[in-house]
Amino acid sequence: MVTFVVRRVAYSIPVLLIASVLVFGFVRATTDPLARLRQGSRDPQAVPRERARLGLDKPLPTQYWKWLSGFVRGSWGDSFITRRSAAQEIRAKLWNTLQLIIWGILLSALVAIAVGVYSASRQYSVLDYTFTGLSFLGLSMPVFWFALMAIQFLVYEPRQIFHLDQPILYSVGLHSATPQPFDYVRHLALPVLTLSVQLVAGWSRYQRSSMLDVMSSDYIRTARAKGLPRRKVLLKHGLRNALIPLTTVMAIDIGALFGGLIITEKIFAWPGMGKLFLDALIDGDTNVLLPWVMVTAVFIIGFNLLADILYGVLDPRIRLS
Amino acid sequence: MQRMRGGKLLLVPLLAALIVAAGCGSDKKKTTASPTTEQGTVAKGGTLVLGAEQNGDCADWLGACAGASWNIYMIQQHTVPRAFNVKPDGEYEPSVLLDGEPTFESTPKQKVTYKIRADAVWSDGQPITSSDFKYVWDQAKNGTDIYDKTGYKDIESVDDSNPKVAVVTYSTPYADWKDLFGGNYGVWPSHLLLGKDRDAETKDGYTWSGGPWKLDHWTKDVEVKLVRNDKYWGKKPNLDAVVFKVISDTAAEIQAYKTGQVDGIYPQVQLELATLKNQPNTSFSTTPGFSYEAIWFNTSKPPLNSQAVRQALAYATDRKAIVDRLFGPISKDIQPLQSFTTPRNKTYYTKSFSQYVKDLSKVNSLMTGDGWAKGSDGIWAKGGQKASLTVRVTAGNKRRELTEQILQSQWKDAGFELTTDNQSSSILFGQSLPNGDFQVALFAQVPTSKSPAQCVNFCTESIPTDANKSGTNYYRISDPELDRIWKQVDQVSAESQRAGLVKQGADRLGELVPAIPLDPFPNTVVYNTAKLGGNIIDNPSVLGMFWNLNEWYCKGGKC
Repeated sequence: MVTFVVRRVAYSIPVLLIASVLVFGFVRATTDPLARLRQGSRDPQAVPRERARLGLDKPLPTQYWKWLSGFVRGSWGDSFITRRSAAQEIRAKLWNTLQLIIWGILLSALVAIAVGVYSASRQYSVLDYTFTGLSFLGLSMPVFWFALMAIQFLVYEPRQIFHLDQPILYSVGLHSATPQPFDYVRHLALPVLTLSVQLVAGWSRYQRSSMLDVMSSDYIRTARAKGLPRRKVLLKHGLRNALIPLTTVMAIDIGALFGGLIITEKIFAWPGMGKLFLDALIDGDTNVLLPWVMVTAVFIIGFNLLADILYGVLDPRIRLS
Repeated sequence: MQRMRGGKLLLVPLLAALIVAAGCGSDKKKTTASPTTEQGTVAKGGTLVLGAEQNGDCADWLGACAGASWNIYMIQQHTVPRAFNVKPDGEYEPSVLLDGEPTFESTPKQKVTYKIRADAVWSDGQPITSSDFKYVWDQAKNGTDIYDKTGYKDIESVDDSNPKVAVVTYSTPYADWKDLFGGNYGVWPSHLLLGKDRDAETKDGYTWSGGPWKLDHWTKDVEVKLVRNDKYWGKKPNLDAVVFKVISDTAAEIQAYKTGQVDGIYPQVQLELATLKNQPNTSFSTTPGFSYEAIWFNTSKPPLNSQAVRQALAYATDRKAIVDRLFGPISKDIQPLQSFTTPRNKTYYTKSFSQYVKDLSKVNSLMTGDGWAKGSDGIWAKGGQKASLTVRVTAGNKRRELTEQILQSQWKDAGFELTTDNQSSSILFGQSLPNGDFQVALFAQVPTSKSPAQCVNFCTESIPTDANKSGTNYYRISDPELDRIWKQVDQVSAESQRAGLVKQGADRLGELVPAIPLDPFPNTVVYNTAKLGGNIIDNPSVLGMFWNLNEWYCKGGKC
């Protein structure tokens, strides 16, 4: 297993390097970190002065090499725009995104598995059709639209109906200006709900399909024939095996979420990795974009690796082979 | 089934708890809280929460990373003392830092003498002195990472021999001297910063203040919190604290206001804001500021290198129809702009483009006079070249994309073909405009003061070249008469003489048409009248709607 992990990590290094070269080349060729200064300053020398100070007048390979050698040594450099340490920026944003992901994943996994198992065990029932319809709705609904509807119907309307001074759930930021009861939960609820809708919709379909496959297996029939209770057959023998494909999908999705919550974070003013990426891309801030790509790639590779390992843990046949 | 019931039972107390938590202090309770407020007495205390569309990059106001309006709205103007304020009517007035109007002498050299109030102190109790003026000048003139040296590089010396009198002597006359030691920069505490790395000390915020507020914290992309500066010698704030929540999405910002999570917003004008006009307990006002939008031409690219074509395009454009379409639902008062200064800057506003109203007969006579003839497709052509143009705006800006569509239709009626090729802001401003890689562009100019100077936009020396990539005459207009007039504007201080020169320069621009001024870009002020009191109106300068934040109050002392 150790060899497997080491080999997978080693393979990912050239992938990361190629990704960083592509991102660096693409961003530097198409954006200008001094565009904002150019727009605002009346001083004709301001742009050349700043270009020289930031080393942007050097050839691109020189700039890239300077960044890469610094990165390897642990010095991630400063943002061109804010002048803050890129590592500091990413660390702060990563923690905010992590909070969304952890709660979102827990909620989504719980609901998706429950819905998937129920739908499979009551195939073609009214509730199965209902869940199927809702899943398709969830998958096809744009995130921004759902988020705005959630704000309208879970924040605005209840406040109007109950004549509340403060909304029950908040749609802005991480916390209130003055301490409020259940503040964390009330701020987290909507972004987590928005993030979960598509995850639940997708994962529950996987879980249902996987569960149906398993439930038609010979060993399940055998277990039933032996007279095991239905719940035991379903949860102990069926669910454990049916979780294997979902685990892979979940691990890949979780890795992608680290940089993929741009719309959710923007609408709920949640300062996370997605928003950091968008801002850095718009500003042409390669000093933030490159470590961002590295960190996100590490998470994606890490979670893919985790999926492989979990596969082995959940299915002894894979582990033994 | 039994378990489901149990689950529901768990939800009920949770929801009840949230509703009770949310209902702490209802609207009803608030309206009866303070009879004194209803009689007009200003209540003290409370924490006000406002929405902020953007976040600045840093708090080193002198540094190249500064300049974003929102950090000046939120932090700079409330913590950094300034020599002059700009009033809501656009006029300068000496600030509370000064003991009256500074003395201005134009000969033998331009010299300005500022008397600093005896009781003006920093938040640590140290007096604000002439050395603080000297520090700013020295940093701005000699620093290596400075946002804008304009004006400061023309200062020869700052005499700080008298701590309460700063004598500023210029090597060359600088007409906009009232912008200096104010505007984006202000006056800084030399006793805290001299000999230190200014940028490192300030870029993430600072604890000192020479204004009515102190910065409690700035969490980037999250919020800015200001608290009272108890050492402030002027009018102390009524509120205990102000929190600016950063909400960069316009739709989310509107929802945050509607749901009571913020009590005031200052958004860039968008049609969707119209939904707030009928919101209960809401003051919604839209007033033109100093910023303006125009249709900018690259006068070096055919067919726009022909003055007749540019004039014909001006006659082909129904600017009134565009402005009504863009801003009608929000405000009926906004009218097409007639020069490259807005009516809010009344001293320098002229009507140099007023002759350009849609007139297809004038388009025809100008184009035929220039040798063009209409083809079978109705588009002008000359020497085998069709009058086809491409316009660029920042991609994703819905208002400007709508303007493009209207222009396409209007210009097609007049025989011009218009296609669109929109770009991201950084490509448009970082590459296309400086490199002259455009024909027509649509964007806003955002002056931070009432200075009418335009040499930076229209003088020959400001055309970006390989040697000078930093000029902002992207339009490549080159005219000796324009150069002469606008250079003089930069040097003449007397307002009436300057206004005369500005009119000459604007009229000349009206003949050359390097651009068509479109609309005075309006500022929108929205706030909750049930909660907030004070003289809450827009200021067209870099101060924005928060220029008198220390005078605002929460009705009943609680927001």
